[in-house]
Amino acid sequence: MIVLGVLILAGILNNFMDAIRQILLEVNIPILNSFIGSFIGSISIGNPSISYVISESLKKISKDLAVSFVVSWVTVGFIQIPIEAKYFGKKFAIVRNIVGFLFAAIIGIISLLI
Amino acid sequence: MNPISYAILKSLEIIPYLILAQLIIFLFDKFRITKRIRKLGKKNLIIFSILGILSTGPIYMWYEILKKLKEEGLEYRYILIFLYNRAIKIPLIPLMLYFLGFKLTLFINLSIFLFSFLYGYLVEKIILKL
Repeated sequence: MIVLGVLILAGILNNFMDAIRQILLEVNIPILNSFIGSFIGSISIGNPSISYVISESLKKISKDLAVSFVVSWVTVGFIQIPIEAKYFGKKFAIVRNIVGFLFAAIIGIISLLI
Repeated sequence: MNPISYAILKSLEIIPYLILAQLIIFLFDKFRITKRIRKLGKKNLIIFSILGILSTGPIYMWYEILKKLKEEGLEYRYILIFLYNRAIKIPLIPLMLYFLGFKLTLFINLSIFLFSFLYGYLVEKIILKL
């Protein structure tokens, strides 16, 4: 049942991705971009190839936005926390995802140096 | 696609993988794989990062297997390293190169690999302290 619930949520979020991308195109604040990218990637779910396609347009706004978005898409899954908690406990799921979110933002910030 | 159809379709896709996970867990029990893995100690850092990179299929299948390993005493850090390195998708690298270019593709994948060790230790430390 939990899996089904998460997948319904994933379907809803996928429908919102286009709108989110449009909003992002209008926001461009250095470093904050990393956290925005990381947050959007964290609440998204789906095949990583979708994140590459979206990140192509994000890259035009800023590199860190695209990098943190791609990294968090595959390393963080806020909407999967209930499932993770079922397997490994709440503490594990919450800490893992929060640290993953921060790491994605940090990787995004570092990408500005290359 | 509407969310309900998406969820039903995905659930049906996951079922064979969950059966496969149970089969792998059965083999782990039969050959006492967890005990052998635990004996490897720090070599597991590299082993679990490579396994994470090579792993395919839905995450739910891996959750089942990793839960079994955890119950048998495997440290959190190896599970975390495995999960973090799952983000490196070798079959998708050509696509990544096309959309992100060589420099960013290399940077992202290398960062994920290197950060995974720090991530494993840090998250484990926080979980154990809480």
